[in-house]
Amino acid sequence: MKIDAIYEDKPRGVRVPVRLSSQGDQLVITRADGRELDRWPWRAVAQVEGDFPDGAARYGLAADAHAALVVQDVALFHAMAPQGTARKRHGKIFELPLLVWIGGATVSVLLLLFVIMPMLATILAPMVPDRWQRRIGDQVSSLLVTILTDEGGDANCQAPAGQAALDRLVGRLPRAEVPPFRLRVIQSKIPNAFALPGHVVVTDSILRLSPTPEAALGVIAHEVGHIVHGHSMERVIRYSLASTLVSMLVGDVGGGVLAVGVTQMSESGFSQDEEREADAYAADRLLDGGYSPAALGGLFDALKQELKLKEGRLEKWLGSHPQISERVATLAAYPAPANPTPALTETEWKALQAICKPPASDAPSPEKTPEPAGE
Amino acid sequence: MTSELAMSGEIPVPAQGGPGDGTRVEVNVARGALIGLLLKNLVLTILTLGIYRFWARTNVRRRLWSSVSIQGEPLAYTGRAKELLIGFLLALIILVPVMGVFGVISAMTPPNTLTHLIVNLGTLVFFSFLGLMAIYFARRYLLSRTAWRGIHAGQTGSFTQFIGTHLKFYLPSVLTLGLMLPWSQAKVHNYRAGITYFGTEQFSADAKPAGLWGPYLLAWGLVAAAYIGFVSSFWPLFIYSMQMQAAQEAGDPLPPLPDDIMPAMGGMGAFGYFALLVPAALVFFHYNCRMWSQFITSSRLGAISFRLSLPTARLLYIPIVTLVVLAVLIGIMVAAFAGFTAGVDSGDPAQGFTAFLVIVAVTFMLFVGLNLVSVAWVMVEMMKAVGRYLRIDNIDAVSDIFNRGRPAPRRGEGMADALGDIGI
Repeated sequence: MKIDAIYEDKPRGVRVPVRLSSQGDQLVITRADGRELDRWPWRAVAQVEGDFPDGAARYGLAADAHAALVVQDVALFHAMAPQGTARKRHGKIFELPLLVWIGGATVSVLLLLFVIMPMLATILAPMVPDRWQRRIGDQVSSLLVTILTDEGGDANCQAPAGQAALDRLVGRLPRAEVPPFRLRVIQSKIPNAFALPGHVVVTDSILRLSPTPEAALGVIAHEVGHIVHGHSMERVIRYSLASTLVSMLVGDVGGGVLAVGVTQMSESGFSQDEEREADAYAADRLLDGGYSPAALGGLFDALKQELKLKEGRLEKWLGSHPQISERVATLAAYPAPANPTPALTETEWKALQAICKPPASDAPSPEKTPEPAGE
Repeated sequence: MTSELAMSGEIPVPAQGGPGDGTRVEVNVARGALIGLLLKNLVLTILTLGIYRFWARTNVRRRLWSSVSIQGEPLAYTGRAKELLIGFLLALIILVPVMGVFGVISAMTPPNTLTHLIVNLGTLVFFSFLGLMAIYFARRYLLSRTAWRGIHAGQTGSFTQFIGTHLKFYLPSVLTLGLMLPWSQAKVHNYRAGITYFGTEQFSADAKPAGLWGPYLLAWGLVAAAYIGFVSSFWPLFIYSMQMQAAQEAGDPLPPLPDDIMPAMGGMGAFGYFALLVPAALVFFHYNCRMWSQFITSSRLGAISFRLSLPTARLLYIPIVTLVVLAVLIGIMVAAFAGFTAGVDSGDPAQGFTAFLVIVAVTFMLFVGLNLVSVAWVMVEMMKAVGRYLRIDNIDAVSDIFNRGRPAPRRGEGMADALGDIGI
């Protein structure tokens, strides 16, 4: 069966007489001279809605397709079509306004960044096997130690007197229910300390900057707090999720500079919360030992002086740590125990501060003893 | 319009090197206005945290398409930015969980282990599938939004077939470390032409790799030599750094630094092997000129045929200028990094921070500069070259072509956009 129809090129307003025939599941459109013009799959053919001046029915593959068939004899056309095809109508295409898309997208992104992804990180982090966590900790800490240690400096300071003082100081922290970690002091001009699964690393300059042994104990307890709360793994997962989303969203503007900045901004809030958590852990341990948590605050003040830290809005948004003044104030609000006994004697404290560069009498040989593997 | 001469196939080439009779493609790009548009786009894209890029891309395409005309009739780009944005958002719904899973697995597995290697390899294979899928949808979208004389182009075929065909033709190249590339590219060109239509007419091509092997193998050999030379001269240093890392992890003292650790050519001289990449790039440019000339000349649109003959010698200024620009940019980058290291080494945190800001700014400026050069100069020069050396025969046959009834895809580039830089 063949029926005559008109092929209408809608954007150009061109009309071509054609003949229609059916071959299996295809509607074959042939020109007047017998050459094939196109083939349409019957299952997608449907009537196109609209008011047409000639009153004839239009059939097409979509409501907004560029071409349609003008069919005079609809009954004949339906008879030619295989069962269950060509009877439907193409509905109008409904488009949501642009602002709805942008608004919905913004809400979803904020929800993902600030609620769902952090939640996922909290759930997933404890699921990483301890052995894996430790291996990641080993790798990253050895890298950070290499970067932080002064050129020609000692990456594992163990002057005997200093080490004895360090052992005594750390002995004041509870070890039960704390994942095992290796504590080491490195020689570095940068006053810093960090914790990774299985590792706590402290620079000798932060020990020397500490006004009291209790402040040094507070720093170590703060880092142990990160380990106890499992912050490192959470941070790794949260950061990888957030940076995936942000880098896709932002695109490649400026070689990723923008993506890094935005991720950092969303991350800093969580990382500041974690710092507060670790500060609280340190304060509790200091109180347990009968020391004043304000001791740690004293070190923060010293740090602020030393590094000439600025406290502006930018630092508040982008910084990984809360503002120093806020941390000092929080620590000062804890009760101060009466008559605390010093955590170390004056001699021990001096030895600990000089653990990397002991005075000549303290160091029996300038040769370092190789450190035993692991702890 | 078609002369007897052009139809006979024996075309006497005029003295000035033009490809003879046939319809020309006129390319008129106002470069100043294009640069202005690119800069405006850049500013707005940054201010909107990247979201303006869909409007930016649409504006640039509209301008570029309309700067190309055949028989006085310009090409039209009919895409809308909103389509790009929605396509992108929908792709994110699928891609964010997928990328997140891969990112988290990769972050959770310890580095430098077999598990990590397997995870990375799996990720690579998975993303090459996704990448091919993205190309399919992006290409379909771009063709459907391209029109000439009111007639729209388009792409047929399913994406499973698209991916399967690409994998089949590129596999020999992957297995031979790239040696089979001319064969793969010819096969893929023929396949892609076959699924491309302009209105009711389908393209076809029978490109062959014959004649391409000489320049390609020469370029391949130069790159291989540069790579082998570079790796072998740094081999002792690589071995030492492995030992050093192992010692550090175990807490052992570091192994002594061997005497002959630096590359044989004397310190940083090993980078001299990179010099081989310059002739490699020029030979590769020649390969591309010849490849596109052969491929386009082998293509048909029904009764319409094409002739392209890109003369490498006349176009060689394009890669040479690009290489000089690249060398200058790399020089600036190296200098900036040297300054950065000095700033950090000074130990003063304020100076270190300034150095950091400077390096971020320099990276950003270089990225912007590179982008401007590649779009407003390299691409425009290539378009002009195509205009100068492409001829279309029997173009009057286009009067027999009408718009097709296939619905144009409503969106399509989202996946490509989320996966990587899409260019313009």
